[in-house]
Amino acid sequence: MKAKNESSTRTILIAGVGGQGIILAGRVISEALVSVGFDVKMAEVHGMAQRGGSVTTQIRFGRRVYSPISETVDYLVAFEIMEALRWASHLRDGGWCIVNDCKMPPAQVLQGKADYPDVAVQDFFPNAKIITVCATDIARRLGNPRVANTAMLGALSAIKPFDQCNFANALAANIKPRYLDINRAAFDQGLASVSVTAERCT
Amino acid sequence: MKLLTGNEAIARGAYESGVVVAAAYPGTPSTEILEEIAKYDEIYAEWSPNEKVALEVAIGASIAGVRSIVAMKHVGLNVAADPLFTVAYTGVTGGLVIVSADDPGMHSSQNEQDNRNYAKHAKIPMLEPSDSQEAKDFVGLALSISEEYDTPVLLRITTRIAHSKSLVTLGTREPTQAIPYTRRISKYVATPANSRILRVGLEHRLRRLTELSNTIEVNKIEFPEGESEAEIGVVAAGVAYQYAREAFGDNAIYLKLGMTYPMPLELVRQVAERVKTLYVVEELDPFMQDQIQGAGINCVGKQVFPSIGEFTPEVVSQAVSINAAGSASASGTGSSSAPEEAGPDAAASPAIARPPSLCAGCPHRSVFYVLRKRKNIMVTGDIGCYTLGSAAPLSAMDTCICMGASISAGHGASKAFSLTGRDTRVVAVIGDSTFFHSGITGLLDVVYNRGSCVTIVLDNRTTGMTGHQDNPGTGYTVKGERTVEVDIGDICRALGIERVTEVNPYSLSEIESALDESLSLNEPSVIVVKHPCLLKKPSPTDARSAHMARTNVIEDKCRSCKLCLSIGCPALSIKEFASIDPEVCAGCGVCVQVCPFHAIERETVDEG
Repeated sequence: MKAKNESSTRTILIAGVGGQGIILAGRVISEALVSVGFDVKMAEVHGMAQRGGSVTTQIRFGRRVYSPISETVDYLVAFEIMEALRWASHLRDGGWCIVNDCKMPPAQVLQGKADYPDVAVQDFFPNAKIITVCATDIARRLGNPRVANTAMLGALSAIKPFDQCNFANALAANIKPRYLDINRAAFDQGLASVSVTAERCT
Repeated sequence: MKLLTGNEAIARGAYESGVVVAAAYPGTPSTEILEEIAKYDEIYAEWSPNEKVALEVAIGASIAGVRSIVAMKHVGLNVAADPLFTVAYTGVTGGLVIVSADDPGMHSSQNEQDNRNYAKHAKIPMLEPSDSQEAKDFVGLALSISEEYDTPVLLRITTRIAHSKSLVTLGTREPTQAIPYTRRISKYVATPANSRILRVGLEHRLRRLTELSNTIEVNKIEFPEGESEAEIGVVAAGVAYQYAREAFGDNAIYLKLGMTYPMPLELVRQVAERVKTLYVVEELDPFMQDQIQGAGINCVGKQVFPSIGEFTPEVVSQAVSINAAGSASASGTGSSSAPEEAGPDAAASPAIARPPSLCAGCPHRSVFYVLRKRKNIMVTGDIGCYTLGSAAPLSAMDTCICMGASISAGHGASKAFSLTGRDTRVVAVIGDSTFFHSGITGLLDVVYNRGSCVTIVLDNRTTGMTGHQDNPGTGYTVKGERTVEVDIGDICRALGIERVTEVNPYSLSEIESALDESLSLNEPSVIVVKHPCLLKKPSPTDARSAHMARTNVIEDKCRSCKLCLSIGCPALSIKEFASIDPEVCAGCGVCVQVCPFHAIERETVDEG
């Protein structure tokens, strides 16, 4: 765990697996933050990432943002459990960890050459405020596992300052009209699934 | 105000500045520049077969009197270096901007060369934006400098500029201007007699550009509020300036450079006189540092900052604190003791590595499965998704050097083996877009010089790794217009290859027999493995194979031998028995053919 970032700029790290819609989620968050007056920078990584590898996107917001990246983050939004563990050491003490309760075994595990880490997320983030979201389950129930990313956004929107943001417009601006309804549903269910926890943590 | 990536902003800058012609070859992190430009009807945009062609297209347009832009990744500029060095001599008519997108940290590249060196080497001016607003603005600035100083201009960005979004104020498009064309032989025909004169002009132009660099408004000294002196001064450009701002805070004097070649050494001297310690914060090579020190100005650079990998604000501040603690050698020039690139803390995390891999159903997989089983062959690979054929468990690639090298390096290796009495055979593996880029000339060499290497073209009907760009084989332009669909087999036959076989990647027996036949020949041959990438919606002429069908494991038959795992498919795993994840499986059926116990079956097999 890192010490609290002294600058007023805050950092979100979205971590997951290539193909989970991480860049799209980052764009929606970024636009939602701009809509309430923050300066925002977002760092994407393209290329090799699409082929099932570990992927991250960072969003930094504040009064004036210089660097698009930071090694210390305030919010870790992990679309997969092991990806949360991978970046855990970058979350500052007292930061938020919002994690999708979903395991995607990497090649080594599929090949039987390693075991998926047997670690409870709670144990691994002793100083973080944790929200666990069943985003992939929500998405499956809605009929499309690919909207798990939007369910995660719904969960993020439960906490400050994201609760002030206009996600509806940002979703509409970034998602094709024919997929908008299912994404809105995923967002709402993601939000509903964590509201109780968030109140306790705030 | 709009959130744009640096690449989107450069495209917008090209639009607003009245650019008429744009050309590029896809390459991370530069690809989206041309993709975004192509959306503007006012600009002609093309995917060129390679970067050399792209730059030459832009040069021609400039000579014909319009503004042009060309974009490529850092290694692409190596391919385009030949025209670059001479267009520096001839100069331009319409403004000409060359965008080089470098990749410190090698997120998606085979090396991390620092292309700022090209500006110095070719003696052309260079601009480096530090966010998306500057990325947009600097296109217009570069075009103005290009026209006023009669020179191509290098616009150098890095991954964190190309792929970071920040807020940009949009403007409107300047009216297009076409400068009347006149023949100017002494300017544009680079014979020795003309070039000797142009060569002198080049040095004269550099002196004028140095004056510009010391006065241009994008090179500015930023003082702390109410101060004219400070303990610390910082020289920085590009994204490194943003890192430095966070690391050094508001009490330092910054020399923020937008134009980094020629270096504004007078400005550097002014800052050096007002501070106790002058830091030069730059990723990769000591490009600015060497010039600053060469001018006799003391500074701290690569003695403390890494020359390998990407910076972050933390990398900069840690290096500075080490220096302040006095533990850094004042005279050292190496960086071996400097902190390296930040990444996940492997020691503290139980997370297992998750490298990229070929997708489920990828048409490349079967070829590497077949190649891996062959003894006594060398597989020379190339740049693209299929480079992942080198990863375990396929591990079926011996080399990957640069675009097109599979065939030519394979030819050289093949000659070396046969001349020294070894019977190792060479199989070159190359993708469709890479074949068009620079594989054709290598294959011509194989034919011309009586080589015998086998070339496998993995034709997935797109440029895959960079995100599905069209190429001369797809039948569409970057604007989505229908065009000639160049046939790879026809090209090979026209080059003089007599044995060209087309195979279906989802039939292991077809691949095996084509390879058997090719390896039995004492002449060059080509196997075209043709199937559209599954991640891309196929074009109307590329209807997807009708053979795709969900597969299931029959547990009664499975003996848990794990042979199916040797194809490295992300849909397959093994616990007690083999298991196929229905959400991941694409139904390609390769695993069905690999299982010796017929324990994997397909739900419905449509042989039509």
